[in-house]
Amino acid sequence: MRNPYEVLGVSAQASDDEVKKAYRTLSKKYHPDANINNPNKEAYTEKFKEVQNAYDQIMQMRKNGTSFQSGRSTYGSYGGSSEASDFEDIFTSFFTGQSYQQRQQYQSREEMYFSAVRNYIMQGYFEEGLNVLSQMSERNALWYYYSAICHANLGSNITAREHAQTAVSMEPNNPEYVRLLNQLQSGRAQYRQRYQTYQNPMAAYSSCCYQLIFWNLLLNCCCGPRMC
Amino acid sequence: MFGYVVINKPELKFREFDEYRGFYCGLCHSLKEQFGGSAQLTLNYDLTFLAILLTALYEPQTQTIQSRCLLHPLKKQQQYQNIYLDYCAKMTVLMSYYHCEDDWEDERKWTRRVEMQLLKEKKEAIEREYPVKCRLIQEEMAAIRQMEQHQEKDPDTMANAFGRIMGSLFEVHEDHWSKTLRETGFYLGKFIYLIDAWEDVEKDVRSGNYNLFKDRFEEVDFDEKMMEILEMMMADCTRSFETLPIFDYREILRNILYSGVWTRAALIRKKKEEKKNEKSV
Repeated sequence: MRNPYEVLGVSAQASDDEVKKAYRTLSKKYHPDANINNPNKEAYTEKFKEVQNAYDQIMQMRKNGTSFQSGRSTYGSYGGSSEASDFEDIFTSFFTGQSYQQRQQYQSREEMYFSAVRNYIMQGYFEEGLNVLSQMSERNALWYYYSAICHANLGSNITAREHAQTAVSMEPNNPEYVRLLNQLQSGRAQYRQRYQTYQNPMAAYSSCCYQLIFWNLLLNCCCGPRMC
Repeated sequence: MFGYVVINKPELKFREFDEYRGFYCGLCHSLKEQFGGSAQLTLNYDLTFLAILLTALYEPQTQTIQSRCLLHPLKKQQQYQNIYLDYCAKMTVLMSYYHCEDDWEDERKWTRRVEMQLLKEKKEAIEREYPVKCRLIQEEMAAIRQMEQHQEKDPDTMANAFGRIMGSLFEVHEDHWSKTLRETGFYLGKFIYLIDAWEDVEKDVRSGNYNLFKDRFEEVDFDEKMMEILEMMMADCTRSFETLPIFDYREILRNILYSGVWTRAALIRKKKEEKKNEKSV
């Protein structure tokens, strides 16, 4: 896997804007629509896809707080780890007669459920993962951890954070749980940073000043918009 | 449901405000051109935001024209025209129709029925043009209605359905940006659903209408918890938004997403605090 920063021709320390500018320049250059009469059209189209993928990769890594390491792939946006090869074994042996029995000796019922959940997570089937979790009666820290991952990937961020917090409070020294919680909360710190650069409507209205608020909303209004 | 995704005007430069107006007036103009004068009444800020976002991302050919309008007969207004403003005009009419339909189902207001009839043919033409999108939106709205009937209490479950509607509006083409646009729309949609429910909870409790928070709004610290949840939505929305390679109109978009959306929240918070103080007196 080629280093995505190399594809875009920027350093790994480049700012987001520098990455974006590089993307814009290269994507315009290699865009299929811009190269209809180009004899190298096919090569350019390949390059265009490469540029798009490189951009995506960099933005996803930066969004998730991970960095590029060649040869490794993370699964899912949340809860990524390097256990892929172990899970493959469990997955295949789950369905192979003899090793299934062997597995049964060593695995408690709970472990079997958790195996299934891990597999679903790895393959991106988060609803199915939640389904399996709902069949488990005991809800320990690991249960909440997996539940948080599934909910986060389904957009249920409120529940995801609650469950991640529960996992951490049940096992505060587990680094995986703490990492997940931090990942889920990191967006807010970044959001607040930007949000504080604006004259905050909340601060402005801490004194009784409905007029200011109405005036702002009115000034927004050009032609009396519809408010359902 | 509309009117939360607004600018924080004092924080915009004059030039930026003119550009914002260019989109707003452009959307109004597109509504008129495509659907006639009555459609202009459906104009809203949320889809103005989307028009700016799509223009900034896709950089389409955009014309600027100077035009008069009924509400500004003396001075010509700068208006933008491009394919994404036309798309947003269609989505504006579509969403207006569905909301009227929803209100009619819930509250049987005859005014909504009239509006529905006015918009019906236009909506049908749009449904023919975007069958997959419209089917998804209708399914999610039906799911929302059902969940309301079953008095659904989980905020994620309800807000996700509305989030998926917004997500599908944000995704115009099936392309490289689909996932990011859908995600940005999804969390913004969740924000809108939750702030709308929060704002209306007292009114809905009085009138006996469904509200997600009707069992919780009198809890201590409820309003603080709401602010945290809303902030979470905007944080996740902007996390996706910031991965888009956008430079044009970026300051307007950021003004809205980081600041403007809190304008109404500030007002809601203030009103609720005053109500609480009145009660305790």
